[in-house]
Amino acid sequence: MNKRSNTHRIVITPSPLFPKINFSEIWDEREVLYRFIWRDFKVRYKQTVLGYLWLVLQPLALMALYTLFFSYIARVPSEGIPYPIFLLSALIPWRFFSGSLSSGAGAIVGASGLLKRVYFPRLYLPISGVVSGVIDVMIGFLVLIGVMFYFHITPQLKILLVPALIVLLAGLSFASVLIIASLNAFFRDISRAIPIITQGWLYASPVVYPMSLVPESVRDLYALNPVVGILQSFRWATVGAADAPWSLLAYSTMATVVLLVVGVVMFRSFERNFVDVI
Amino acid sequence: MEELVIKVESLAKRFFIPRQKGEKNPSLKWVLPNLFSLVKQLARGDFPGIGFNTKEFWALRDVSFEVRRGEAVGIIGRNGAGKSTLLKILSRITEPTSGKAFIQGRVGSLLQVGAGFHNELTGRENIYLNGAILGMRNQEIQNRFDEIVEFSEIGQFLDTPLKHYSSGMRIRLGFSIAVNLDPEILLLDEVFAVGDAAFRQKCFDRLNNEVLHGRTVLFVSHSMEQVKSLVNRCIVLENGRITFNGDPQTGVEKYLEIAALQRKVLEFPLQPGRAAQLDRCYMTDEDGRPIEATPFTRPARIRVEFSVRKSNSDAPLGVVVGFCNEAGQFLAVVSSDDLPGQSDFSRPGRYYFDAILPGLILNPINMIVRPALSVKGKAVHNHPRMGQGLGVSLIDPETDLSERRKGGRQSALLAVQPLGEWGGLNEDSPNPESNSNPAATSIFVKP
Repeated sequence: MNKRSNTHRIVITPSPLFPKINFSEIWDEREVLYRFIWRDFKVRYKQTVLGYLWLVLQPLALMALYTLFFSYIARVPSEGIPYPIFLLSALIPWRFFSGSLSSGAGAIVGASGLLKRVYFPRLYLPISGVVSGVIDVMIGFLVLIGVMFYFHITPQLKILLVPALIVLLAGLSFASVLIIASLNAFFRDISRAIPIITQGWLYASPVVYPMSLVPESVRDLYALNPVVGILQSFRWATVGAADAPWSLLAYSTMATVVLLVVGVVMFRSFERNFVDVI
Repeated sequence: MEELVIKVESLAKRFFIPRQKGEKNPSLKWVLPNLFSLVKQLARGDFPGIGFNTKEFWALRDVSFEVRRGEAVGIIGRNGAGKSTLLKILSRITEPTSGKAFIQGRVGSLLQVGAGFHNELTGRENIYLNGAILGMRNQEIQNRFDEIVEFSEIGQFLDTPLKHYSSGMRIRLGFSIAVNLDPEILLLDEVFAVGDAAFRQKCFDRLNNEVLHGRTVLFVSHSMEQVKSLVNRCIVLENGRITFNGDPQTGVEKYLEIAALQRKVLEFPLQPGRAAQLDRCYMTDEDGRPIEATPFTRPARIRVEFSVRKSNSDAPLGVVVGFCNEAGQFLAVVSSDDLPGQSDFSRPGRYYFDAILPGLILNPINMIVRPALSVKGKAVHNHPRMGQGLGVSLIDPETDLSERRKGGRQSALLAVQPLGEWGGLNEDSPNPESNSNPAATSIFVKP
């Protein structure tokens, strides 16, 4: 029984071409959203021995692996910063973004049982996925700060910008989840293509290598990738690599806003047919 | 008069379903004049409707009704009549294609128990999760927690992950959360079809009490008993339209009537690609009208109508009709190949074949008739709906079968009805007026 106590009068009609976001409903029913987030977090490490320790172990293990291959063997330069923290400063936000891409494909399709049987604001599904990611990213940055101290690098004051950057990254991730989830409900091709896209996107972003390695001639094209500005800003704010990448950041912010609008319109418009096709 | 709490105005819902093979697809010429609506469909995400291999299917059409506070309304109809679609629209799970509905009050909809249960979470955690999904506040769940656990009878497994629960335990837990909710309007879809009988009764009683407490209930069920005992009004849906809206007794009768009519003729969907196909199958009376029952003393004539589209002289076509009991065991098979004089269905056209079961061979019985086409004497089972068969009955117009059973007449329960004769061997023996066994006597006296 899904009791909607605040909506005492419900009018059910076919929705308009571009349905608005029902903010008051999203706020009123927030306990459902809270339970979704709680569930995702609870379930994640069930039946594991190490449990929440994985939150710390995963970035550290990846750091060791990437450092071995890209720094020790491939000799990738890291702008004078120890490679492990150079890598982590971008790898942690990147993992949030790539994780959103892959979880986005399942956000609607994977919840078909629930969608077909209960009503709740459908936007909760993508929102809860992104919020789970944000928690990971925050813990990841605590790990990064720990590793920085290990390398005797003290974070500077600009590290206080990280929360704002996380908000921006979450916005971009949310936009991607909205677009991918909406399309994948109708075209399952999306979920097949996502691993390839994610892999390509990683190579097209300054995660394992510095942006200075990208040839001057293609750098403008390279910067069209909205993730570039965000990752460069993260790296700048934490390990203080180069000058502040303000223009890149401005572009990423604009792109995020545009993608958010596209994503929300798309999701709200396609939402009406989700249940009938999944 | 109580106030209106649900008002439904010409609600309609369209789905797109795949076209059958061989059905005509719209040509490209159709695209250009419809370009505008195509673009609009794209923007709305109506992707299934754009595909050229789909066609419209109206699950609901022009459905209007009103429900007043405190009413319990049953929605009945055959499978696919649109009952669940209607409840899904009223619960806002899917939206209507056109029309409007107003609902005044907090709605609780229970389309399936335990929706959103997570296997990895414990029973306790799932109570919180499911409760929230069903619209309970955290505080409410806490207040009712003990009551939920007690009602569910899962006690010591409360902190066991749900994946270790038996299906019965899951259902009990799901129900216990559901019956502890407190909505003003309750939408129920066939939820009492599961679980063990005792627990089902417990839930049903609980629900019955709630109805008495002036809650408004919309109830979809296939159990006519439940409908009659729970509701005070009944809506009958037939192919997406309301065909009856009124008192439950009449509604249930109306529903049973529809269900019976549908059983009388087994219709096979068109399969234009096939060289030959079954069209219809029914039991017929002397005038060729479909009937559902015939006296067991009279011949039962099963008519199979079929079409031949391509000539097939090298693979002779035949018809096989099997008579089964309700358990699916074959009692008799009639084949057109066995007829004296070869049947010839080689030229394209429409044909019929009558399988005739003579009277007084079988006892009164409910039978399932299974028709099939055969090629070189081998039955071809490639028809959709083939599995369903046609339900027909041989009845005894004289006596009720159950009365015979009471009288210890075991033979009347067996499938075959042999005859018997008797007579006196001495000169002075009484001459029997009739020379058959008592069951047959009653028949011969009153044909």
